[in-house]
Parts: sequence; C-alpha cells; structure tokens
Amino acid sequence: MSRRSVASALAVVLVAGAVAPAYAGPADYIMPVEKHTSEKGRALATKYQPQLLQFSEYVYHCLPYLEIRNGLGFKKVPKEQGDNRYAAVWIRAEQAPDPTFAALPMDRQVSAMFSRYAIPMLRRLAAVPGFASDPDVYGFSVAVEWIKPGSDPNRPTMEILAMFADQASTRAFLGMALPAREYVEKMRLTFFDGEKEVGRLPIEVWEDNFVATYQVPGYEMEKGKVCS
Amino acid sequence: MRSKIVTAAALIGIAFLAGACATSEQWAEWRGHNSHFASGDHGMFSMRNNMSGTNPRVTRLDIENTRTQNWWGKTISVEPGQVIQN
Repeated sequence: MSRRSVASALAVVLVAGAVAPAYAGPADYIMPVEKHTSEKGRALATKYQPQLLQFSEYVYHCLPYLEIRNGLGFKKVPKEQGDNRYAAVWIRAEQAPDPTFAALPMDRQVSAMFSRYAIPMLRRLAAVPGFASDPDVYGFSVAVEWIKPGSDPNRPTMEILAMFADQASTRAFLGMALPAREYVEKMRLTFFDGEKEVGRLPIEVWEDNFVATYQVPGYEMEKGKVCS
Repeated sequence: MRSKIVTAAALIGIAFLAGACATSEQWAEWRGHNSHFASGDHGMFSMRNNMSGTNPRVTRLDIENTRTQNWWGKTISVEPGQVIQN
C-alpha cells in the first residue's frame, strides 16, 4: 500500500469520525443549571445533580423505549405566580401505530398513557433521596408525549399530557392513602393536541405494570449497569 | 318511510360508534397485552443478528442510532414553554 493511499484512508477515517453523530448520554438529558430561571431552581439543580443523573441513567438504560425531552430539572407551572419548583421529567414514549389504541376515545388514550408512564415516573421521582424532606421541592411534574394516532408520518403531530402535583398529595396517593380520583382532581393537568391546548380531560388511573415488566426483545444492557 | 329513515340513522350511528371507539374486547386486549405498542415489538429499533439470525440483539447505541436515522425533524407540537417553564 502506498503512502498516499494510507494517507487517503486515514483522511477518510478522520472525516468519518468528525461527521459521525455524537450520541447523547444520560448526562445530556439533564437541564443545565444555568437554564433554570430562578435562584431557587438553580440551587436545586446544583444540589441534586447526582440524583438527576441517576434518574436519567435509569431511564436511559432501563427504559430505552422512553426518551427524556427538554431536560430533567426543577421547573414550574407556566405563567404561575411565585416560584414553586417541581422535580420534573418530560418523556417521549415511542410507540408503533396500533389500531386498538387509535380507536380509543381521547380521554381513554390519555388515561392509558398516564397510567402506563406517568405513574411509574412519579413513583421514581418520589423515591429520589432528599426530596421528601426538602421544602424547596414543592412537588412533581411529569409530561408524557406520544405521536397522535393517524397523524402524518412525515410530520407527526405530538400529543402531550402534563401534570403537576404537590409532594404531599403525591406521596399520599403512592402510599394508597389518597384515592386516585381525588389525586387527579387535586393535580394540575393539561392535555395538548399538536399546537392546540385542549386543557383538562377526565382521566382514569389504573394499575399498569408495563414499565416494571416490559423488556425490549434482544436488548443488551451496557456492561455494569443494573436496573432496580 | 319515517321508520326507514330512523332505521338508517340508527345504523349509521352504530357504524360511527363502532369505528370511533374501541370495543370492550379491544380495550381488554389493550390492557391485557403489555407489550403491544412498545417500539421493540415493532422493529423500530435496528437489530443486530447473530450468525444464525435467530438471536437479535439491540444495544442502547443501536437505539440512539435508529432514533437519529428515523427522526422526522420538525413535529407539530406546542412550544415547550406552554407545557412547562424552566
């Protein structure tokens, strides 16, 4: 092989390396401290960096069909007065088109997504060490987004359900001291259909063990990672 | 004539409801079948196969790679600030 061809091959490798996409890791799904818009938010983000990273690693490695969107952090209800900060996660649930799901009425679809994904995320957030005794962590927020059934595959419409609930009622609900219906009534709940804010929907909550039990077929966990 | 119109309207109504809503059987199936709409079951993730092709394997990097390749770019959605504030 001539020196020129070796150099050419090396150049190709270098260029390929330079243009290869940089894949996101768990740390990339955490909202940077400076993006929090208040001192309280930034202080919480700094204080709980290790816990946020642990949460992100759990979703990244153990629930690969979910993707954290718009940064894991301490956020607030849009346009709300004051600065109540919620430990917040926004997830995109990747799902293939399913005629049965598509045939459900909208409130049933939303109930299904809430039960399947939001509840396990709430459970995980509530278990983060330190949150329970921290008065600056006002509550928890989970947003779940998915592709609207039947939308244009080339430019899909996203449906988003966002909820905010205070710590006390969330813990009471998770501890089965507060019925699901009352918990839902107490929380702030907003549904978005594409670019339209639909508002509150009458959702139901039921047991769904999908997140706890589902395994992506053939999924090979990175060495050294453990899901619990 | 009037009864024919009522019958036709009833049939159209039933057809509409059947098309718009899942039946109780479908709903039971949805709730009972835990993996029916997860990506892994529908081949959205690229799979690596072993030599015999019977043991598909997918790593986190495969998933990331497929997301990058399959993503559509811009979606129709509200601005994140309408959902939650930083």
